[in-house]
Amino acid sequence: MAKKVLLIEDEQDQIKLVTLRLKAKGYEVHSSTDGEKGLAKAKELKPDLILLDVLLPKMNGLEVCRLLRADSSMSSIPIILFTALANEEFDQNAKDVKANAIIGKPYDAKVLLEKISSLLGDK
Amino acid sequence: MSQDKTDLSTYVAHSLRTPLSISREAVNIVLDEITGPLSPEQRETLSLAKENMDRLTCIIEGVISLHSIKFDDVILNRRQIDAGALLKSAVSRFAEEVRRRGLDFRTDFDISCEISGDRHKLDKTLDLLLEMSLKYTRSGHIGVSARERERDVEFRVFDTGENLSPADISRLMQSQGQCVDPTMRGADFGLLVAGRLVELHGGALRVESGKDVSSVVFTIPKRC
Repeated sequence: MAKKVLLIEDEQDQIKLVTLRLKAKGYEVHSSTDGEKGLAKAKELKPDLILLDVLLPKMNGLEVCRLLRADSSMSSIPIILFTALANEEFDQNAKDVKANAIIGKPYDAKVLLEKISSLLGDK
Repeated sequence: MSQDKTDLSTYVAHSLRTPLSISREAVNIVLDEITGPLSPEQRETLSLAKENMDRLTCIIEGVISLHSIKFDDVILNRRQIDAGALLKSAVSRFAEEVRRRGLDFRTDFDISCEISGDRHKLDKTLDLLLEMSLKYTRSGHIGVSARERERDVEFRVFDTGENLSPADISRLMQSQGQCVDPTMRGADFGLLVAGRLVELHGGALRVESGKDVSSVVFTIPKRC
């Protein structure tokens, strides 16, 4: 059965492209366009992995990540923060909210796919 | 370059970044034939678009990096860093890509001493120089080495790629970020940004151009 990836991202073009990439690799992709909807979707869907933008409407990605980690039913889902803000300070923020990995934007599709595959224990 | 012009160039660079990265990924998806097979002519035409988008991306990232170093209040988060561990980690980040391109990766840094620096910015410096080596080396090898000296450690990133001209570097270092011919290796923003990062640490960066091997050599003090 295809593994489910939830993409929480407000940029529609980015959603289309990441979805194409992940579907081509056999993943089932779902998306939400703001932090609140993303959190609700995660609760409903229980995805295998969450790809989480940081600058999101309504609730930012770091807060979404913190709330996911605080919910025992979702605390073990791998979370990749997907951000243009990557720097040392952000690395610390990501550690504080217990994200599994950070992928900087603009992203390299190969790096993104490898990270997802490794967190999902594929191959 | 005046501050106003620099602010404008940075604003433009940031504004171009997202649409360009989306366009680039869209082209990559078509080239990877995720959306269907391509004819050779379609592939060739799209490859041209991709190459030029990659080139533009490098220029934009360079403008953004350069601005962040020149005009922000850069605070170095200095600590004592194991010089060997710093290089080891850089090698591990690039080893797979070097292998994938069919190049040898040569290393020579059997040292056990500490330098005073900002780990994140020194990682960035090595990444920029190794990325530049990868970009300009089609065959042969790239490599890193280091040697301990009395007051500092001298790092070297070298390759058998396109020759680096000291005259170009000198021109670049004096340009203060003004536009120089971006097709020349010596005009690579990565080199300029790496030079600024090294200067922030109180070190110096120079270029050595040999018959077959070009090197970028930089020093980082052992103590503040």
